[in-house]
Amino acid sequence: MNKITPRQIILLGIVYMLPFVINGIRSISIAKQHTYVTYLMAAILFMGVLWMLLRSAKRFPDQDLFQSLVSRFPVIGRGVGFLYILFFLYILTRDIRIMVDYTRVVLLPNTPFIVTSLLIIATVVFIVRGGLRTLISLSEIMGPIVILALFIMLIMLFKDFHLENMMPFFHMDIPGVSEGTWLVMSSSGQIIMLPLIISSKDYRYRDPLYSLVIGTLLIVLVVLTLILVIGVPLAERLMYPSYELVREIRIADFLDRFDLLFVLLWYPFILINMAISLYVICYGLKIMVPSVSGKMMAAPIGLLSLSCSAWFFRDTIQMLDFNHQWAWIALVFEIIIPIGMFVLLRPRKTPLKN
Amino acid sequence: MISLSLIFASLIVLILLLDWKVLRTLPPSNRWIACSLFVLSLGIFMYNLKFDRNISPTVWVGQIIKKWVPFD
Repeated sequence: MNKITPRQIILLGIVYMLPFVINGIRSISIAKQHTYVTYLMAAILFMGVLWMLLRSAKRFPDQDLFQSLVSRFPVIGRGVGFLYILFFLYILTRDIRIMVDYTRVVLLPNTPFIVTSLLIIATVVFIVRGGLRTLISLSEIMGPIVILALFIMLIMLFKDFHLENMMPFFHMDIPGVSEGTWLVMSSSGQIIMLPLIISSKDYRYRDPLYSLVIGTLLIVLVVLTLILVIGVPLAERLMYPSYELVREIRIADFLDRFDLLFVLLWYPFILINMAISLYVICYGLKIMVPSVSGKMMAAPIGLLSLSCSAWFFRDTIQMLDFNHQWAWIALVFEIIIPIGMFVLLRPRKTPLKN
Repeated sequence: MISLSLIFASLIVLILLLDWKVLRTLPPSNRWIACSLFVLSLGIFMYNLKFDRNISPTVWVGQIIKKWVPFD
């Protein structure tokens, strides 16, 4: 299996979109019962951006976007590439922070934070050292399992649906929904990593777009289940609403710890997601500085992101609040620079002599 | 703080020991970048543990961007 198949690309994109959204649904306290609309709006926006990125990637056959940036504009391309590396470093750092917090609060309260974070980062580093092939194989195994688990969760919770939680359904709060879209935009936009690391000959136009659409529909499914079962007033006050959602599942009177089963499936999913971020950083560094081996950079960058995860944020509340401001930075990387690439990044008309 | 930093430093030494065989064969820039990243991460780790009221970059950046955020 030397060639990457479309299915693998779709699953890779879904793995990069889904997990953290499941963990914390950011816009629910603002968009209330229309939270699902915010994800749909963000998806529509990024369909356009992704199409532009794919278009500019396809102009360079056999190259991904990092490579084409460096080969076309050696200096400015490297600058933009380094900015993207910093962008993904922030994403990785934030994700490590979220996961360490989650593990300490919910799963292992007595374990010191250094142990949890080192274990997480070690796993991620070892996944990245296996290269893109490992990432793709892992996402091909875990992706369908988690998607299946989501549907099973939906079926099990079906009897607890309260349709009145969705009311008023047609009265849409436009400012709330647009603010929610502002909040979730950065997380949906992470899908732009697909053309950055996968060579343009391996996918057709529609594969990354499918991945965005399927990922968004799965998120919408989770959000709708959450609102129908738990309800907005409760869900917006919970730190990990989806975790509480799984705890609602109860079969007969004695099978009620499905949360452990779900975490068992979902935690590897998260680790793959973080490994993709780390892979993007290492791969980008390898392309920017040709003599560097991406494999050897995995451990240093992993440790750097570990120490940054403690330093970047004052506390969890501040991290959640920063989402409002982060959207601006994400806007630059996920919309403005892709538009710039679409306009400017074209192969040379006349090939260089020598 | 000392013990945590020691754990971190010993981890770095462990990684270097395990990887040294490969790192030696690669161009020297690899060693320089890897070592400087290790030192940087150890420095950030110790800085973060040492001071109580340290400056978090996101707080700082957030205050700058706050003026232009359309929703508050």
